[in-house]
Amino acid sequence: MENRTEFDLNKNIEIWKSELSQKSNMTQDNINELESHLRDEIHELELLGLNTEESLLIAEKRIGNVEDLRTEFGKINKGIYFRNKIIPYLKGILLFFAFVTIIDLMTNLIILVTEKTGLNNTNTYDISIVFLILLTITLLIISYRKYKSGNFNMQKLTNIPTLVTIIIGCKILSDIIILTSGSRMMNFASLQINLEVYKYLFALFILAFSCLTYYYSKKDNKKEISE
Amino acid sequence: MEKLSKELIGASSTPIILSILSKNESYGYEIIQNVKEISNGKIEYGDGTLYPVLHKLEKKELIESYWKTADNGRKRKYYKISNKGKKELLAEKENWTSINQIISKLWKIEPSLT
Repeated sequence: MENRTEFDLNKNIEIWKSELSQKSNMTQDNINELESHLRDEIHELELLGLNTEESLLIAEKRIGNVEDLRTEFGKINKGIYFRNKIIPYLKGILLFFAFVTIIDLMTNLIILVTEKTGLNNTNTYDISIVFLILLTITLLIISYRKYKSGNFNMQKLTNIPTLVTIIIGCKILSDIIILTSGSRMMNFASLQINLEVYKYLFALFILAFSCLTYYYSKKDNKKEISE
Repeated sequence: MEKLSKELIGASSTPIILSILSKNESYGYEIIQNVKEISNGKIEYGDGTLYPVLHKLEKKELIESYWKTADNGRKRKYYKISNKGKKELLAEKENWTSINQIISKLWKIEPSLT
């Protein structure tokens, strides 16, 4: 006797939707609308006497293959295509900036601590190396544990508003430390000023561009659902 | 049944969709079925190709969209004609009437859009 597992329509539609979402020129709203159409088509085919699996196959065929849909939607979603393509790169740049600002903050904190405790340069050097090694090990352990428990969420880590907040927060804290610290820190800071100005301008440009891209991307994906 | 050419279907899509929406709000699947029925199958929009046309009309502010829960509990995106769309429909009617008259004159037949 033939042993068939029960056909899960919702699961199959989710697979179809995930294929569509991998294409960069469709918004979530576009995909939801196509899903609604697909379900209408399936319902009509079921009324004609087809089973759910057959109905889904025919409905998918009628709505068009993923490449055709991508081409059709690409004609009207040119801006969205550009934004969806550029967002991963922006996230990468922001992640790098966040890393740099965190390291800057850590460096300034170490210098401040050594300044306040009166340690010499050799000790400062050793402390900073030990601190960085400990920080790396801690981050690796946290990531491994999260990965093992299935809670590792890269989306949270690469969320644009979160990254922008980290960058701005760390930068402000670093500057506060430099401004409120002693002469040694001021000397160290003055050496960095020229490069800092350039870095600030570039960071401001990236931040503004990221925020605008994020805003327009959210606006396009916004669903207007009314009962 | 012989279908109309792709070019003609494409050119007439705006007045056809606006005319359907001027009677009632509707959603993609229903619009496709309506057009197929009214045209006796001569015009059949591809399932996946109607939506980009609807979105283009929406961008031009000729129609408006909103999500609504249907009686069967499923959410559907409905479209309705805007005031700008109503004006555009009047202009389209004039254009298509003119074309109809020109063609009729050339072929020496009585003009009619009904």
